[in-house]
Amino acid sequence: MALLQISEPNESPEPHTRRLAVGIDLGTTNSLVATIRNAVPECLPDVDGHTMLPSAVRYGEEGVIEIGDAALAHRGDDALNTITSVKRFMGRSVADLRGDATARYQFSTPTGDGKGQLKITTRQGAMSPIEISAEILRALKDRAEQSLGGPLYGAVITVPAYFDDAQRQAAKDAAKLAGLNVLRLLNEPTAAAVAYGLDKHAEGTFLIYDLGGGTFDVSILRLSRGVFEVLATAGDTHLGGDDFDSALAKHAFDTWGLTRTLSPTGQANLHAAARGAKEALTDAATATIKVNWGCGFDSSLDVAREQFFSLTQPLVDRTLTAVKRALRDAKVKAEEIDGVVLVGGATRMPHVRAALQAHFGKPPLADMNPDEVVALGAAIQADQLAGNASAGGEHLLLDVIPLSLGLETMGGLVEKIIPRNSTIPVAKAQEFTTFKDGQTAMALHVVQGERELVADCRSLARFELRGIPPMVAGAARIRVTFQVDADGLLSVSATETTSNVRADIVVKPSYGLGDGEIASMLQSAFAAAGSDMQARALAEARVDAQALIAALSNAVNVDRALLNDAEYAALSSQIAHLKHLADGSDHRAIARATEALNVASTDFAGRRMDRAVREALTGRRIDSVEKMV
Amino acid sequence: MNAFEAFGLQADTNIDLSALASRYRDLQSAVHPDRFANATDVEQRIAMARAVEINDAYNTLKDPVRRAMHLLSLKGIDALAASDTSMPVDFLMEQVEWREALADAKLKEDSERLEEMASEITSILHSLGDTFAAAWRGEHLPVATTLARKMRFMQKLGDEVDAALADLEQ
Repeated sequence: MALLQISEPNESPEPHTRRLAVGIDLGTTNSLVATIRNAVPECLPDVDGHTMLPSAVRYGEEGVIEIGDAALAHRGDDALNTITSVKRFMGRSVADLRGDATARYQFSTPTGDGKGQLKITTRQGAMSPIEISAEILRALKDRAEQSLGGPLYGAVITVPAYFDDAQRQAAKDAAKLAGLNVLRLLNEPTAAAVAYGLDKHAEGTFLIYDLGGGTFDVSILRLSRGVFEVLATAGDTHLGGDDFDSALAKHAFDTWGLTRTLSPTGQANLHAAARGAKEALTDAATATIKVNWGCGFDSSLDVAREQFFSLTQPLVDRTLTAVKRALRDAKVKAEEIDGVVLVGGATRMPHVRAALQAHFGKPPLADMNPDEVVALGAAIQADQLAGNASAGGEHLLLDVIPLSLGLETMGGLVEKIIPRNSTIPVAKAQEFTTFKDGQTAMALHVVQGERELVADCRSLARFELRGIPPMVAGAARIRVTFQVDADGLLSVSATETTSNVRADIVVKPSYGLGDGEIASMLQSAFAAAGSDMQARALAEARVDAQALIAALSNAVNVDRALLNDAEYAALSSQIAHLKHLADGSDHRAIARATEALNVASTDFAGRRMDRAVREALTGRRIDSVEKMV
Repeated sequence: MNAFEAFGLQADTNIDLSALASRYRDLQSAVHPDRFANATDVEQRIAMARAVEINDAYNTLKDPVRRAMHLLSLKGIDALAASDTSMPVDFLMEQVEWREALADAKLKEDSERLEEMASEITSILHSLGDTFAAAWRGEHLPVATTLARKMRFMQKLGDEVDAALADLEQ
């Protein structure tokens, strides 16, 4: 649609129909929500004027749930029921936690074998990270709706670029559970690049260094005339500011000669004190870690800046390893980077900046608030995906998948189907064959990672193709297709091509929630709120129908020339029919007619797309046409 | 549609990579699903399929080895067909020597040697690419096919050298 609209620069085509859309940065330590107001992205504050909401959820007595600072206040006295850094557990199993020093809760799994999405035991029951994250997202949604004065049309949710498929699915499920319409999952460094690039009118090759509370990402992008092309990404989803706190806490623990295992409360207090000292050392030469253990017993330790730097230099070095890998994958040399953009509160640490300056030979760019830049970029993208951006003010993001996707083959080896750093959306097909004579079924095991052995990669899904006609070994042709959409989410299908036996799977087995599960959770939430599911279904069907009517009516008017008279008459009458149904109250009839009209408009849509491609090839872009108009 | 047609180009060995990158951005700007946020479901699905095709075509055209394979396929030749994998003996001997050198450099963790190998491989790939172009234009297709296979061998070797270098950095 957007390509066909011609309007004044910087003016929304229909200002009165602006849709309310937000960008949400769901962070390990803090979360933010931002939107576009008066053509400028801004973070929305709470009633106290704070834009950052601590990513903390407390499950209190009598069903009370506290979020943010109210929850954090109880981190000391109710440590097991006050969940922080939940992002570290998204799409993770208990088996994944081994050796994670920040894992200080009581965990369980639904299956009992340590696999599958873990849950955290609280006094209100076992909560999955998806449910806990949904509480944070719901708080931000409420904040935005109060601030903007209406229900949200949709949201862009950011995720670390290095999140794997299970973690992405978990993030999307959390947003759905919070009642948000997810316009897109957007990689955090890409969001930051959009905010930075549009604000500074930057062109060239940029490296985004994003060290958050619990995750580290590095992405290299080429910025050219409004197109943000990610060349490569690398990172570590278990490396962040939290780990610097832990290193300092361990140092204090060892120096004090403590031997007993700390209580959850003691651990929480020690980490909070270490974090305070770390933040103080950004400006001060020394800081004190002071912990009151209760019963009149306390400990205190002075730490010098240099000491903190040498304690945590190995963590900084790990980030540089990822930086080097990203440069290698992007086939870009350090000296070809036009700027290094800092994202995430942890990039305030002076030795991080010094290491980057040494590596790139120039100081990193720190002229945007590293806490807010991701949310701002997400807001810009949300505004565009909601259809609010003006024709001239559009940009395009071309992102990549962070980790290779493949299938298990004989001997526990991985056959890569889509290599890491492939631009999305992407689809690849590969043929496999049977191993034994008369084999009628094939087990497909989908994995993600760079290693050659299945055991070293992340298992995403297992599914079976059954009903293969018996043939001699090697005669069957099993075509397996991997498709990754613009959210970076994978779906897989397999077909035996000589017989057309088919199996499909959207990869969300043990980690995400099934759509049915989300629907039932939402349903109970609505039941609690006294809403009527029937009314909701009708409202949704009408919204879909009206969106289709609006889009198609506009397209038919603009491109009348692409239709012959009979086609024009047929489409017009179907549009009128759907309009008529949408005024009624039969939501199933509306949904059926919407789908029918969608199908009927397929050829027309294809012709419009062909025309757009021809225009792109002949260089007749709408922005240059616009200047002539 | 072949990759060249998708980019409105004549099938040829000669490609201006920066013009290709610029055309790629123009094409994605026209078809990417994000540009159809307000469009009908059908238009969004078509946009998705087109964006996938253009990504695939771009990957084929910008990579000299994939481009060579694609040019041959336009002449009805599958250079990777398992039925015919014969390669000149002297080339295979060279490959053995390369592999030995790679294994040796990995064992000694000799990143300097690996970097040297990487740049040697790059220049060999360049000259193979030039020879391929001459053979393809002269319609010497069996020669071009062998050259394309040699390019693929060298590219795989280069990938392994890169992986070895990345391992040393860890």
